[in-house]
Amino acid sequence: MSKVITDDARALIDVEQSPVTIEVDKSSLKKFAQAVKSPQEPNPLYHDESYAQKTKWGGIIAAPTFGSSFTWLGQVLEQVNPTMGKYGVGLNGGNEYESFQPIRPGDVLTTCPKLASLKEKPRDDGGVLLILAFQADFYNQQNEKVLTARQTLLRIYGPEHLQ
Amino acid sequence: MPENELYWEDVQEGQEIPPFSQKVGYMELNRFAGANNELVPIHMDPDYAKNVAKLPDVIIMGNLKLAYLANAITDWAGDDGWIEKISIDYRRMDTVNSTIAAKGKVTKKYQRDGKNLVELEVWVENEQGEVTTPGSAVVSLPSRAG
Repeated sequence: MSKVITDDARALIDVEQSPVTIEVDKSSLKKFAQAVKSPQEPNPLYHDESYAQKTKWGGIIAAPTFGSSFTWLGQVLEQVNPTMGKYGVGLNGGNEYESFQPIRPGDVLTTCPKLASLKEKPRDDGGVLLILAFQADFYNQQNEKVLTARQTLLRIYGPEHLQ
Repeated sequence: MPENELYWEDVQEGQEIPPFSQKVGYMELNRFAGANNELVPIHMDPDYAKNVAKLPDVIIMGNLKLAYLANAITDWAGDDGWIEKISIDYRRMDTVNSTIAAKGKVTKKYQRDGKNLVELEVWVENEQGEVTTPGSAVVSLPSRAG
């Protein structure tokens, strides 16, 4: 029997939430490229138009994990959090990025993120480890799928949270 | 085709890729926090990290470790390479001012749906050589056959 997962929480699995829109601009792409390479110089493919035009991509593209800067998770958590009462310590469990097309400056990306799965495991202290998995499929302005982002969150419920 | 480009034919199963290593201080953490929209006190504020969150110190963002793994892959694969998929688990924390190394090893190469693919085991190591962040990646590369 589930100690933490409620029927209300389960009902949210695979339900797409309200859309989140991301407008991609050159400045954000450059700042991200600088931050992931700092203090080395960033790869010019991610910020220098004249360099990027000579590559097979024909222009600036986003660095591979630029999708981590998209703040989509809050949209789902607002729905999920109230369904499971008080929760304990939260940790990032993992990330997955599946890239189908380059993200380019000027792109307008849209996603309807969702809760993908819920699992709970008993802990030795009598508490519970809750594993929440989320997914967001991003489409560009041509309605081409560019990215699937998956995120796992771990929440540790101590015995005191299970009253 | 740039001179430093890697071709699928030149990749061997079992080969390791050059690591991307970096000492991660507050400069790197704060810069990434801004660029990644990740303004979270456990990644910025030692007082909060130790005394409120009860962590050993400020911890390095998982997303920065992920980006370092992507650096190792793209530095190796060149501009024509494409990370189709990267997947990682955050098993252990890495703390501020430590040097971490993003590494990878080719586990498989194959062609599918017209793509020249390479699978890699990837991981982040701490200064003690312990794996804190294991994962995997699939990369497509150009072929000499065009």
